[in-house]
Amino acid sequence: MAKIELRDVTVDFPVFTSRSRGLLNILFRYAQQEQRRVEASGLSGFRVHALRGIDLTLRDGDRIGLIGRNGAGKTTLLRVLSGVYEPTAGDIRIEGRVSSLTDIMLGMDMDASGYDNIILRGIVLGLTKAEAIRLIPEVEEFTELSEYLHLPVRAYSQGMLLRLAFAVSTAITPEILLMDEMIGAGDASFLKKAQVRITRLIDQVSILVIASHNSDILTQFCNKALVLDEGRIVAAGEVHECLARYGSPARDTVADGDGKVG
Amino acid sequence: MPVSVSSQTSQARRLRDDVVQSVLNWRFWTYLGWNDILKQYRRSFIGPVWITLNTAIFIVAFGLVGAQLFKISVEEYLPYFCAGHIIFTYLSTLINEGCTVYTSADAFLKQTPYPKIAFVFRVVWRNSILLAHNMVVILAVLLWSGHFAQVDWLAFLLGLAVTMLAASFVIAILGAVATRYRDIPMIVASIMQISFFVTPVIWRPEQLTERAQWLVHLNPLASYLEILRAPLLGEAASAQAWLTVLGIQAVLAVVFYVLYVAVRRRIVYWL
Repeated sequence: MAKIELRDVTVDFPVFTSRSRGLLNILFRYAQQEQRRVEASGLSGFRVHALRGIDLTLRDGDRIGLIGRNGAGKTTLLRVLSGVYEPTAGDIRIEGRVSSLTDIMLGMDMDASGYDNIILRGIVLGLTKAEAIRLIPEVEEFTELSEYLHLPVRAYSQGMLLRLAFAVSTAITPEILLMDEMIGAGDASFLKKAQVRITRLIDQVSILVIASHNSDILTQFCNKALVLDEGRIVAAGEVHECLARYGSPARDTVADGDGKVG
Repeated sequence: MPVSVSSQTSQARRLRDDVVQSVLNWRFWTYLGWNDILKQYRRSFIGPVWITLNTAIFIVAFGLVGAQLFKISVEEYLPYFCAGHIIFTYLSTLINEGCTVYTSADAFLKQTPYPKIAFVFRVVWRNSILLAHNMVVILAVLLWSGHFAQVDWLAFLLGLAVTMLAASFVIAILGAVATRYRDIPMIVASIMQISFFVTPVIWRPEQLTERAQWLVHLNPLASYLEILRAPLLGEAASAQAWLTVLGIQAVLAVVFYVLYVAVRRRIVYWL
């Protein structure tokens, strides 16, 4: 039984610049004057309110689509749900094994072989080495990389690399699955195969939360949607209603990068 | 990786969970640390052995000159300098890499709530494997100079265990502070550079005048160096060095605890 409960969750970000981050600057007076200047300019002391007063309960069977512009707080909310960000204020309770598939290549080593990377990626996903080794036959079969798996992955094409990362990342089934944009496996020939695999994974997890700008993805996989704007939930409910309310997110082609503050 | 998380849990409890989870997930950090070493082997035939070779060449070259400078026989000086240099490098690399323990793992920490201390252990583990590489040089020198039979292995391993624990505290403390204040790694790097000369690596404490002895007594690195080097040379580390080490250990533990209860949860925000 997986469950996530958020009560009045707020996330504040300190935004550091060389002025505030550098230790030496704190020792020097002028930094304080500088800080006063910025505070006066309305940036409220280098803080960004990424999420404000979020109340949310996720239960088994929930397939949530997060909708919102860049900077609305989608990535931040995903990080709160994963437990990475402990909220600045408010309460959160996460019950169940969470897996974030926001960066499916995390932990992979370009100089290591495909086989080594299956184990590395498995360990990064929380498996033991023995468990990771057990994934090998399935990954071999899905990726069709055969003898390439003996080569260092730097020799792979982008598509091959993605196939490998995708195969390992989707080989384990968490209770709660978080995704920032739908993950795929590159080249056209694999799209269908990858679709089948990700659909099967999503069917198996208790709770899915996916942030996406693609309305097709949201209508296909989600049974509820949340619209975020400036760190608040401004609408919640039926996917197509939320999509209509939000406008046409499919036109919003620029996907969220990792570097944004929320 | 935790299965159930609640923000109702106190920060002290969470710190305890973090440390316990880090220890239980030893497979995670030993594998990552080991892969850090393998990385150096993958594209060259002898990988980190290059570092060992460079160290060996430098130690022999300077050992010969140092023996002349201080008018000691090479058989006396070389083991002293060799053990001292390799151990000092171990200590200073641990401290320098401690500053980047979290900033270099930011992709990990932003995606999954890994226990933080696991990354601290990864740095200690990785550097201890490198020390094992360099131990070959020490052993060769000790065999050549005839000191090998006198090595007190038990005392050395005890010293090593104590040093690893201290290094874990230092890395955790520096890692948190340096993630927040990005000047720290540079400041630490220059301090470590100077430390090489004010720590008895090249010279012996007895060579200093009475008035300059504080350099050794007040230098924490000198005490850790002594508890590791003396057993290798078949000497007993002074009681004073051990007392200093234990004192430092206690202070580090308190600083670590207070700091982490206060800021552990903020570290990811600072990345």
